[in-house]
Amino acid sequence: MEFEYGYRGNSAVENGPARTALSFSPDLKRAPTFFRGELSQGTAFREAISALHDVVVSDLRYKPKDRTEYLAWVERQQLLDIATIGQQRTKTAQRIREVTEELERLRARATARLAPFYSARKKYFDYLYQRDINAWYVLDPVITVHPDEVFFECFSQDESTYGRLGTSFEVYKHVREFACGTTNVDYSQELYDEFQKIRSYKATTFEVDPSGFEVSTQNEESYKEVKIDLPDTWVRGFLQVSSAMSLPMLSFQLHPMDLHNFCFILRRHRETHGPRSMRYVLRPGQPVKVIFEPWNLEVVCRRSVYEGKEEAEVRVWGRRRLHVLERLIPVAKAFTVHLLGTGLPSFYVADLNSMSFTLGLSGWTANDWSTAGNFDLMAPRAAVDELTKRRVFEGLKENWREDPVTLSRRLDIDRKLVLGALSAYTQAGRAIYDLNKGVYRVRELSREPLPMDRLRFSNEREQQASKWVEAGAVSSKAQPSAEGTTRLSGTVREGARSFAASLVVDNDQRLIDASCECNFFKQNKLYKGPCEHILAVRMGRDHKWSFNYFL
Amino acid sequence: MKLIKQVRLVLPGAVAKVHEVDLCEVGADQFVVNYRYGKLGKALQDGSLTALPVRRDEALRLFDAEIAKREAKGYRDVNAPAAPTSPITPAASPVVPTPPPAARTASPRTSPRTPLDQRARLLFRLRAGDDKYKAWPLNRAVWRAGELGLSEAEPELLRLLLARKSDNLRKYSVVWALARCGSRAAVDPLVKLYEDTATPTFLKRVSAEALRALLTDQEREGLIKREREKLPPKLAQLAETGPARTFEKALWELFETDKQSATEVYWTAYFIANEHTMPAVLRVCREAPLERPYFKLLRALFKTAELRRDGQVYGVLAHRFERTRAKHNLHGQQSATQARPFSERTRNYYRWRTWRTLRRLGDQSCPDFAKMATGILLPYTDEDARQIGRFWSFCSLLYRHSPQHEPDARQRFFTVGSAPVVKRSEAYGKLWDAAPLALMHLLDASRCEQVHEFAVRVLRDNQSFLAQLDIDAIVMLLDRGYAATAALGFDLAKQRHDPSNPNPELLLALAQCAHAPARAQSFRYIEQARQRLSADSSFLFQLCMSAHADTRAFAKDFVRSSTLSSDTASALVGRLVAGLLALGEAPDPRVDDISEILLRGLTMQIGNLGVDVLRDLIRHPMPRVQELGGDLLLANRNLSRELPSDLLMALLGGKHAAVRATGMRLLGQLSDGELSRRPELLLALASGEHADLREAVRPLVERAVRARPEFAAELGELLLERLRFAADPQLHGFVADLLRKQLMSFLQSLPAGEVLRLLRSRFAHAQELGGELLRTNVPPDAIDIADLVKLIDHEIRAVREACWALCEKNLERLRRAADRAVRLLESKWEDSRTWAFQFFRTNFDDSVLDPALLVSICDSIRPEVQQFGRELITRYFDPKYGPEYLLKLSEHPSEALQLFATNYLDSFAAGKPEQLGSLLPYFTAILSRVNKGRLAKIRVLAFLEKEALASAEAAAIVAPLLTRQVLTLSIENKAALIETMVRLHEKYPDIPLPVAVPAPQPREAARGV
Repeated sequence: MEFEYGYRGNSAVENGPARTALSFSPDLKRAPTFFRGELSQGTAFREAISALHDVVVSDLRYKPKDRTEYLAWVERQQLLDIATIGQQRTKTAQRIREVTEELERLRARATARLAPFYSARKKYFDYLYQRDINAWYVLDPVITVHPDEVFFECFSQDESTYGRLGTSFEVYKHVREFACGTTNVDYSQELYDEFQKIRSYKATTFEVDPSGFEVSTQNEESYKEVKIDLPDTWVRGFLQVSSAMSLPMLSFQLHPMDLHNFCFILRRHRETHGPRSMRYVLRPGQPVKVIFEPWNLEVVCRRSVYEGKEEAEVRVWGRRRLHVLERLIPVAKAFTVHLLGTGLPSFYVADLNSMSFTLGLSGWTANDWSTAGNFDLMAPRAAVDELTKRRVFEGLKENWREDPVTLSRRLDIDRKLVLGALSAYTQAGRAIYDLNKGVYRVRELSREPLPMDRLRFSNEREQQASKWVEAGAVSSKAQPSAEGTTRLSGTVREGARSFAASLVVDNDQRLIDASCECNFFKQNKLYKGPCEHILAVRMGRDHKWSFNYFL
Repeated sequence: MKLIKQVRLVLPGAVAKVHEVDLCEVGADQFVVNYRYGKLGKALQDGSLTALPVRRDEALRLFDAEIAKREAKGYRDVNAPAAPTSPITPAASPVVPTPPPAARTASPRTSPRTPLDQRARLLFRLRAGDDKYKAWPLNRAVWRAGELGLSEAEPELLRLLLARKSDNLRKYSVVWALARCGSRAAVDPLVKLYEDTATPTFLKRVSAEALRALLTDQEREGLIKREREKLPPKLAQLAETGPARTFEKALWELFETDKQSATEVYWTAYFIANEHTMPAVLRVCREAPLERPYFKLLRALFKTAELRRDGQVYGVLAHRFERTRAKHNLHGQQSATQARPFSERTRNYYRWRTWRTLRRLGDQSCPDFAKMATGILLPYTDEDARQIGRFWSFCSLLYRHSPQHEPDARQRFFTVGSAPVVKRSEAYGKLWDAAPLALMHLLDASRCEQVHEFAVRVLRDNQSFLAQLDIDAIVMLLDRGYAATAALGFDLAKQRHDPSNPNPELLLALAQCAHAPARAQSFRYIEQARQRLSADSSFLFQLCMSAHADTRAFAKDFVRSSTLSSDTASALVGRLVAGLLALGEAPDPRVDDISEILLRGLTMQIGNLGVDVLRDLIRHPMPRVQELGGDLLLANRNLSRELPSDLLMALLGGKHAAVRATGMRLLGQLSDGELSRRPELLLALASGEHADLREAVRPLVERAVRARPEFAAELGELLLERLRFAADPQLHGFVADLLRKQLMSFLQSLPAGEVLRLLRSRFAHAQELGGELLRTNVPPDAIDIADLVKLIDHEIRAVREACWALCEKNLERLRRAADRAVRLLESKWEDSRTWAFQFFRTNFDDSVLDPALLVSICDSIRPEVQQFGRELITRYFDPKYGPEYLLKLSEHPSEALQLFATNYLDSFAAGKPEQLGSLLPYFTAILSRVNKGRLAKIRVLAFLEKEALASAEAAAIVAPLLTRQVLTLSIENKAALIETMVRLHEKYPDIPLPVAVPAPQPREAARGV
């Protein structure tokens, strides 16, 4: 999916000993959105926006090690080993020693001769990296100006982490002029570097520069066109995580030091095998307890008491992404945690007085086939007709943000319908649910509406599988095994034929093995991901609560 | 598994192959036979002869069988002792004497049958009943009668045609024979057959063909018209009126859509056989693949051509059958559905049939022989002649009596031996002697040297015919490009030449022929008639354009040594220029000679050539012609003085170095003054795509500048402008260098604004040039501090260096604007930073650098700059600003600076509870660091404890922080925090802290006493 932006010049920060001016270049291709104000909580803002930057650049996907140098060493070592064996034979020993010495000499000479080349090459690559560092970022953050707050949103490179920094108007001392709306801003590493210089003793002005809209933009020297080709999976992940926010969740508060302790455990330990989950044990009236697997380390959050009514245990994965919150620990008053369920997105909202930072984590860090078909977060949740939907959205646009109860009263539409309509818009990336204030907000992710039919499922097989599940053509049963894995088996009726499929899910809820009778599986095994029958069996098991649960 | 026996067999060859066989014992009387095979030296593939173990004797049997099988394929055991008398070897080794090849002419010669004898026998056979002589089928006799043109057989044939017993095949044979030997009497039965709707197509076609041969001209026209009208109307129209190309195209396309009717139409086209339809037929014969569905049509055409004795079509097809490889051999044919035409057998059949047809014609001394043989020979080319032995009919025709050419035993091809060459070796020489026109036709149209040699040999024996040849024919012979033919023409020309009245056409033909002695002779003839021929511009032109270098050399001398009249010379120049313009793009050696003739021999006339003609020559696609155009321009006195710029640019923009060199020579002719008035011309040169031209522009620029100093500014402006637009970096490099070396005077006067503009350019060479000028052209006060801050970060080192120099000159200004100057320290280039550090160390002191500035240096995100900032702070530290430093540095996000700030705690924060409050975020930040900053944490905790214990006010501020941080899991920190809290609690029990110290209970109470 291609996104196009036009900026007038670059976003700039002017830094002096007594003054900092942040000026963001907005996307000129969208409806004019601008804002001017002076920051009053500089340091907290600095930490929060740095955390947002950490989200933008975070990429925790598994990267295989580059083993070429090691292999070269092994090869050389083997020769040496052979030589050692040879040395035991008296006749050849002398010769081999001579040759080895010669070889060593030659190698040393080669290294000495090539050293300037290698160092120059390294310098050059470093230079290239420094120079083009901005090419490493995927998407410029989105800024939305609303009558009560300005918020920034971004999504990580690895398609798994969502960050949102909301700054209510109390953060700004003199709010001068603003126009509500959403826009992308030009963002770069230099900008991040300049953010680090924000201090409380310097007056910091903040603006989403309106001047860009005032002058003619075409043929301007500093006019900058940016085209970003975003993978569909990225957009899909973004929508999945942000639409998950509007679902009912288990919520509780954590003391900042609890987060500190989580990070502490993760910094002190390194996992070499699964399960790599965090298990939240929630008992009403008791402190929240978190168990870190596989070491089974318990963290009891003594000052954070769970106030829910029912006991619950939720496992979440991809816990290393919590390190994003490290910078916020000193400045946060508290963290509110929202859990959707095991293997589902989780949200951490940091309370920074008049600012809030929301960290949304998808179920897993890796967005690969092993988690495919696990949960369908993009499933439509209530049938609402097009006209009502539009009415609700237009109604929301009047005030830019509103909670569903007030909105339904104001528009005189049933609350359920309003909720259904709003969740549909959330899934389409045109609205978001603000976890902090409990309101829906208008936020158009892109200039043009996103192609939802392309985004709901990651591939056709998933779509087909979900159709069968909804049609009730799938029967599925689970059977736990001794090693902690679970075996799911079932049949899928496809017209006159039926296919038996089975799969094995490990401790981390990942699909580790599967088989099916269909042709797709016979031809590809799992190399192209699971077939539609395997997916259907997996979905069929979760069907009961993955669909109805949300309604 | 125990290896009992192993044999390694090798098959020698370009890539030797190995086959290893193992016999292994796997258990008690349980054996396996395994093998490995593959290329020698490569990984071998494994296999086994025994899926399950077998008994010893069985295993041995398999083992030996496998070895025997491999040896039969040529594998040999490399380790086996050389077997002196293997029972098999002697039987296989001696060469089996092959039976002597059957003499191809043996049978007719050893048992000659006189024609009469044969004809009588034939008639006898025809009259005899159908199954009378099993050994001599009646149909064969019918065919033979046709072949021999046995007119006496006609009544018998007609009887057979009308006989009830005759099947279609018989009828076909009879009709075929009637076409050859029939008379008017056969027309009626044939018409009946032709009109009968029940007659199958193949029979109808052959009867139509027979009628075509037997009818009168008028009747034939009628028949053809009838056939033509059967065509689709559009094609019928085209077949009647043409044009041939349209008909051909329409028919070729018809094959793509409707194969069945296309076959029909092609046959009809051949039946019509007029000038509109024949090209289409010939094209299909030449190009249609010998595959389905075309092959059926080609077969029909071949048979029809044979019947009609149409040498052209017959020859084309026979040539294709000879040349094309068979699609498969008999074994490749698997089933009827897979059957493809043109197998090896089919091909051989057609090859032999072609020769048989010719042989029979020759044997009968039939006048059609020469016609058919000419048709067969014509399609062969010099390319075919490279492997001439492949072509059976061709060799049989030309070398039947040559001892040098031997047919192989199976009569498939000829081998060329070393036997002496005889003069006449062709088959049926007498028949050829009788057909000199056919030979002339061959000489005219053949593209094969062997055919020419043969035809010339035969013709030379026919002096009476040669004596009758006219001049055109002799010119044709001379013109054909084959030495033998040209030599014959030369001999004839010598006889015909009349020194008193030379024929220019004949002389030209002689001068241009392929026979070198003939050309030499012609030069002598021309010399003799110099007076007369030097006035003939057309003759001279033809001579100059000759394809032979010696003729052109002669023409060159001839033109230069003759005094041409001005009219002749002008006409010759015109013709030559027109001739040059007519040439294509490919290099042509004639152009060199013509250039020389024009430039040396016709100097007077070329000076008058018009601009348009020169322009055409210069724009000619051939580089050599362009060059000549340039030379002619040079020779043109009027034009070369005020050279038209477009012509010059056309030459200079040429793709070839020689053309451009000509352009440069022309340019060099321009006077200095003229050059200096054309800056745009020099710009075009300097920014052209050719490096050689660009280099050559330097001296010109120097000359122009010397002639008119203002020129430097004019060209300089243009070149600077060029640097602003994207181009090949090499070009930019050259332009910059040109400016630097040849236009230094201009650069020296370049204003500062322009220099800065250059520096802002997107292109490296422009930036570099700007950097060089930065030192000289930019006065120190002309540059903004903001620009300096930008330039010190420049990617080009020269620019950075110039910027350093400027900074040093601008020291006072920088000191005054120190708040902006500190940004110089933050360059991303190490060299700039090192310079800046030094610059600040030496030139800035605390009179300029106030604490705010020093802190802002520390605010940098670069560790080395932070380090430098700390160094400066330490150096210029003034205790009165201590608290300010502490407060400001404490807000720094980096760990190092946070640690640095702890140094100031004891000096500036101790005993000041009010300051403690503002430092709380700092303490929180340090204590909240996860698994990091141990030192800072210890320091802060110690400080906090000290402070809190010192005053209650401080304790009240510290207590909430401790309460918050004590939750940590870090044992070290937690212990320290608890200790502090306990102490605080002891000292200030009123301050709320989550500490409860249980009162110690007396032991007695515990004992319950």
